[in-house]
Amino acid sequence: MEDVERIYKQTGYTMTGNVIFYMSVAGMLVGTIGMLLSRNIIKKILSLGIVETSINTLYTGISSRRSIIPPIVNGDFSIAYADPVPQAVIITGIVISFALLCLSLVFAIIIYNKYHTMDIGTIESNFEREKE
Amino acid sequence: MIFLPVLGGIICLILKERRQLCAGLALLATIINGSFLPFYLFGKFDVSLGNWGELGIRLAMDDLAIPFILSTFLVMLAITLNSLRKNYDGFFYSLILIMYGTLNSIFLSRDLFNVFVTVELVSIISFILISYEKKGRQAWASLKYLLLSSLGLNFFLLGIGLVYMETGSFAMEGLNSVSSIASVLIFGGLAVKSGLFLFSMWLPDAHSNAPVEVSPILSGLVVKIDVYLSIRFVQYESFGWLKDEFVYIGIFSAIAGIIFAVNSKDAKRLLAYSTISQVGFMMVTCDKVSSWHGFSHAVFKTLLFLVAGNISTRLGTKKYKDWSGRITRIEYLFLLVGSLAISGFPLTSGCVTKEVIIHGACCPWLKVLMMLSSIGTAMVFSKFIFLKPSKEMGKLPIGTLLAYSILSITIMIHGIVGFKIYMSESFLMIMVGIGLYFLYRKFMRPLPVFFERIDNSLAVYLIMFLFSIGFVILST
Repeated sequence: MEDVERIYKQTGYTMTGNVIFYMSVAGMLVGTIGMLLSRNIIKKILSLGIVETSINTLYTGISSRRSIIPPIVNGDFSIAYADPVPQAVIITGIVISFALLCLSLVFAIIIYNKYHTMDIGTIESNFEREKE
Repeated sequence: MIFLPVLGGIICLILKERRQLCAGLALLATIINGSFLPFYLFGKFDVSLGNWGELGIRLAMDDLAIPFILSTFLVMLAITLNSLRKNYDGFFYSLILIMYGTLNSIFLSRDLFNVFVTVELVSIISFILISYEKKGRQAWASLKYLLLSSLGLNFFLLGIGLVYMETGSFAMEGLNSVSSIASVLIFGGLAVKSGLFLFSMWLPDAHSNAPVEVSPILSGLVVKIDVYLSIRFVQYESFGWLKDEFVYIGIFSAIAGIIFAVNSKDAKRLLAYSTISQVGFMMVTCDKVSSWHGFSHAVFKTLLFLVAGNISTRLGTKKYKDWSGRITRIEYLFLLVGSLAISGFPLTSGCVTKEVIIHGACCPWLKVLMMLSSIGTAMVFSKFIFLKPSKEMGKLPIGTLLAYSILSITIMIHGIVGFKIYMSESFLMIMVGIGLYFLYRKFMRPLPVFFERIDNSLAVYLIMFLFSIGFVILST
């Protein structure tokens, strides 16, 4: 803990530095390119999950900029705690992304029962032919 | 105001099996909420929920939110009245009531994170509602919308994270001093759900395959979320580039939507493409006048979607060419009122708001292009005006008739109250549009739907996002 105190007094940031922000942006890029290039519905949904996880990492990084001590106060207000507001944000975000994942899998089941394939090329040509 | 419909929704969820009771409860909750409206609308309040002071959820009422809250009330009332005969079970009404409460809370919130949570909630409910009848087509349209919308809202969340890193709180006043990359992410994240042309190509499929009562909610209210948020964000300093960019994007999407709508054979797809065009029209001037155009667009689009939906369920086909000779005179009357309102006929509410936007345009070439898109709208909707009704009068169920007449009376009142003398030139534009329709009639056939496949729409959205980044870099 003395290292954390020393680095915080010198720079205002903890040891993780800016690496975590760059990694989360890289994770979002990987997820977006995965959504573009995959031909299976389940892989698209998994790539969306990668994007969501990177956002969670970003917010955890924001929250631990001041310190990495959990913000549970035992009566000692002098040491620096981690920031609790982004942690609240990210809990809501995790719940919402979980609900969206479940809903997208339900839609995948309905589509599979109707079109009997998970490949988007076949589904889209059937969809457009039905419309005429 | 917010909690009352949600409470009604939860009670409907408990009483799922008793269908009549749930329908009546939905109607009652909507009317009670509407009777609170005159007390709230003309005052201002600013409250912070919870006892945490600055970190609580902030709700405030302003001049800008008035037309949107009025439009949510009218649209929800019309939908509930229309669905009384159809015997939906209680789950549908509970979803609709929860959606009503959540939409109200979007238009009242002043806090960036509150915006994120409520927008995601509205999205989840609309995904469930689009595929309520569990058909394959609806599930595919809903899945497309789901994937694109979640990706966009993740970009929005990234932008909010950057705002928090730079200013230390989630309040909207923090947007004054934020770097431009965060504002591009916030704009790009919300643009997926708006109806602009290349950003949101999931829109024609989702709006045309949804059930009859759900399309008006999607096309009248969910699309306006982004209009409202953009008008609010443009007032802050770091979004100054957005006003210039919206001019180009808005006018492009207004004209492109009309080109697609002229060539389509399906009634509900035509209405969905015209939503794209009208949203482009609204975004050109991001001001208070476009929020009133949002109100009138919600009202007449609801009327058109309900009439087209009821006719297509009665006759069994969505292609409007098969309708001529088989629709009754009452339905034709309401279709006529709706089509004239959207084209801007001088005594209806569409004319009032459209002419104010056209007169407020900044440069002459913009005015010419907006008049061109008005002529295009008249051309598209003269397809509905020139259908031949059959000889019989026809009867409608009481709920449907009441819904149609409430919407039509609102259109007429808004048109008569706001009429000014320079609005007579819209009559000329309608005549030109009708003339062009008769000329072009032989050449219409459906355009290819290349941009609506899922990979292509995602790629086009990302290209437009990079284009916005380039625009920001060039203009600062």
